Amino acid sequence: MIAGMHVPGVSVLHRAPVGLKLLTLAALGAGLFFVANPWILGTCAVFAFLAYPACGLGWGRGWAQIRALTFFLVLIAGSQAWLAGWASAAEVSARLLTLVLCATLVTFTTPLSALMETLERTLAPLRPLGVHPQALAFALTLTIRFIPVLMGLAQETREAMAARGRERAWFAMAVPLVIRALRMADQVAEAVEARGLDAVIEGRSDSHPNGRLDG
Amino acid sequence: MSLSTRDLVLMGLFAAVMAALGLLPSFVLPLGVPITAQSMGCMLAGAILGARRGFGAMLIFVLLLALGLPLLAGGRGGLGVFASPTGGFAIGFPFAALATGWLVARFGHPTKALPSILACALGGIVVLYAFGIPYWVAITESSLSAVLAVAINFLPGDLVKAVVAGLVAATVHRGYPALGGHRAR
Repeated sequence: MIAGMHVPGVSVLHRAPVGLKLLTLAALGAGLFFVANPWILGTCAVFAFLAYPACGLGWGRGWAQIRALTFFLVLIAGSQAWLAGWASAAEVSARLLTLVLCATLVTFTTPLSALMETLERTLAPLRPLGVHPQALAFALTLTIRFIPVLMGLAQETREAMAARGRERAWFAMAVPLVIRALRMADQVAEAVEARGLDAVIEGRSDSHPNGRLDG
Repeated sequence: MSLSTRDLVLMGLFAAVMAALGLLPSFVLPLGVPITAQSMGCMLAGAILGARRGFGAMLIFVLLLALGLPLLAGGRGGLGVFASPTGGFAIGFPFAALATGWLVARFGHPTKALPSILACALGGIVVLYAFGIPYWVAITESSLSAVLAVAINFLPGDLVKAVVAGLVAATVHRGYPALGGHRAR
């Protein structure tokens, strides 16, 4: 099973409402582009980094975010410092660091289920336009379930190829793998249709009994 | 414009294919640029499922990323992806699949390799870069030429992926006509 990035905890950020966290993040994302002072932005980045240990996430997760950006930070320093000066390079780097650290902070402190609920609630008013939050949630859950199933199918197909002495012909494996996956998807679709998508969706959550796919 | 249960399941399947491709080991070019199989996922989704379902499949994938699943190659995911310089590529995945699927239908021969490869290259490279590169320029406030100088390193790998995706998609359409790729979807 694929695990989310959420790290359980009891910090202020863990307990804050999901909607508030997302709105704050969006406001921060927009607001930081109006700040041009590298010192202020640098302070923001330091605070965002310190928020990781403060929320019980440890130092390592924050470092990992910075390490993942190293390549881009070097690139910015290289091109920006040369073209527009060091202040500008520091400004862009600090803003990028702050935003990535804060965005990932929200991801680390919010469980997948809470984000999914927020998504469903946000999309609910779009129902008259043909958007069906339950159908979407069904597809999302199905995908998470499909990933390990696909990996298993790939393993089976590889073994079948190996039995014929062709375990290294990965291209020859791709087509039968996709066709087996399509066949499996058709079986899943038939099973869901036999039960009725409404029933499947209600089985997952009974909050909206009249969630229909095609309306 | 309603989706059948089958459409929904197929979209979920190709979102999962995209995720599974990210789990494959990536290899690194001499310049330290990682090449992953992942962008092949949006070409396959578009070329095999068609424009509409391919777009939906990639939309599911992008939503799962935003919801906090580490599905990008190297185990990246979460909202941080969209704040980072390469976030534009993630946002571009659904549109790349849409363009690929539309082009496959437009060329009219989903079972032929050459038009499929061309559709994958135009949709999965040109359209994807059209989202990814301006986003990168905007986030890092770098010059376009500096970003292009880096992005060009991905081009040979992406061309290989377009050829593979086009060949796979055309062969799958021959072996599984029930997909109905002959009609524009």
